[in-house]
Amino acid sequence: MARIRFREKDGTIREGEALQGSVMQLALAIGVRGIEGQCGGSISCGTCHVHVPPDWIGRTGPAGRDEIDMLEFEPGFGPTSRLSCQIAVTPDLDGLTLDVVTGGVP
Amino acid sequence: MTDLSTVTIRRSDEEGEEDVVFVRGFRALKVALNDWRTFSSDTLGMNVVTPQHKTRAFKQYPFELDPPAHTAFRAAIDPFFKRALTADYAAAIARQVSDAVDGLVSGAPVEVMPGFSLPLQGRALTTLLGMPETEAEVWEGWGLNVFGARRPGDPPVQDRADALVDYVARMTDSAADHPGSLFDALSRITVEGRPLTRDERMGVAHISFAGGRDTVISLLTGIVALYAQDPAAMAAVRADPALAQSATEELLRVISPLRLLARTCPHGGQAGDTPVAPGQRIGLCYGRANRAPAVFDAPDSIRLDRRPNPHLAFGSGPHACLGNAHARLLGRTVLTAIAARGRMIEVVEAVPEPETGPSDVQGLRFERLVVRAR
Repeated sequence: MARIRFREKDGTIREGEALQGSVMQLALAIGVRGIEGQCGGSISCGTCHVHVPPDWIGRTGPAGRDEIDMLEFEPGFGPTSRLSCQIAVTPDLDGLTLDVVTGGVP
Repeated sequence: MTDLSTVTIRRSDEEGEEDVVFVRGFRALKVALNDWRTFSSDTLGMNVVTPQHKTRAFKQYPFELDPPAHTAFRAAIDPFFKRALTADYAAAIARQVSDAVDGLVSGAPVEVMPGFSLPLQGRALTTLLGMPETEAEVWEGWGLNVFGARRPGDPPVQDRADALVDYVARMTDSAADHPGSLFDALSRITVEGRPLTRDERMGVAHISFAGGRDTVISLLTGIVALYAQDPAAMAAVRADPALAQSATEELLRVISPLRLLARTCPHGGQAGDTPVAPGQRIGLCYGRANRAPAVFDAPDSIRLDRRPNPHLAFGSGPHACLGNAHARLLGRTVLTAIAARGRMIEVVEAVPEPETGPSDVQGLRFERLVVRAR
């Protein structure tokens, strides 16, 4: 079980718990604005872009080559950018707060 | 080693000749799409290889703008198109798809483009644009291939272009009569504190039809073709409906519903390894880039679970397709709805689209496709 928080663009925090699956799936389940997860994890769309706090990147792991290729031209791309569909929920992530990079649905 | 990422082709029309650099490599295309300072969209009718500047007197907005003007405009209209992410919207599309699939699997031969893809595209577009479903009959009356090259039986290009311009003008001027529609929303939207001009409102409506019509028809036709050619694909989606999401991405890659656009290079630059002169245009070959062997393993094979699948079917960068959420939803809804019926689809007649242009690729694209359900 991991309790994960998402900070939306306007500062709103949403929090949820998951046992398994991807962080993107958790975000969709709790209605995080800005996480669209359009392609379902195929690394086709870049609509689940988050920033991981630098001191957590050891636990989430850094972006893989495929993620960097998807995100490198996206607004907000940075050294701790990840596609949240590529982050698996594990107990290690309990307490993590992610910054949502993409804009939200009003 | 020869650089195959670009090819320069001379085109000519009554206004003269130009050498267009067609960008076919994946990396070169992605870089160009994101480099709006070098490759500008700020034109009237020049963002398609065959210019449209004589067919309308207003820009397509925000498609024919560059950042920063583009950024604010796009942000203002984005929420209307993001309605496609809501549950109510998905339910409306599911109902429209179900009705269309009823006809497709009736057992009678169906000519897919006029008999399935065109009417379903129109009905789904009423959901996107917030119009009554009956309005789709008006749009259907424009026929197939409204914006492409003339085919036998099509009205002349200018007549087809005029029909759309007249329509968006009429709807823009009567926006208040269509509450909840795109036309109505555009009459209320402000960009940087000011309302949109009439040309701007018409320009958004125009690109919504131009971008959302032939493309969606290609995608829907390709889905039916896939199932007709490969019953195992249908069985796989039936057994695991969640597969429809990655399958939609794969079909978008293989079909590349929009295969070619253009940009203008006002100050000169470089596309791939090819120098581009000031004022020269480049062609954006999405279809070719989506078959790049260095990026996509066995690029001509259809793998419904392909991952990663960083296709450029919706483009990349500031001008990435505004209707992508709608198109993706429609794609996966059709994939699951047909599979759920459990009927075999067989090809009665198939005439593949010929490969003629520098961006063309083969696979799931047809001049004519007739199928029948068993």
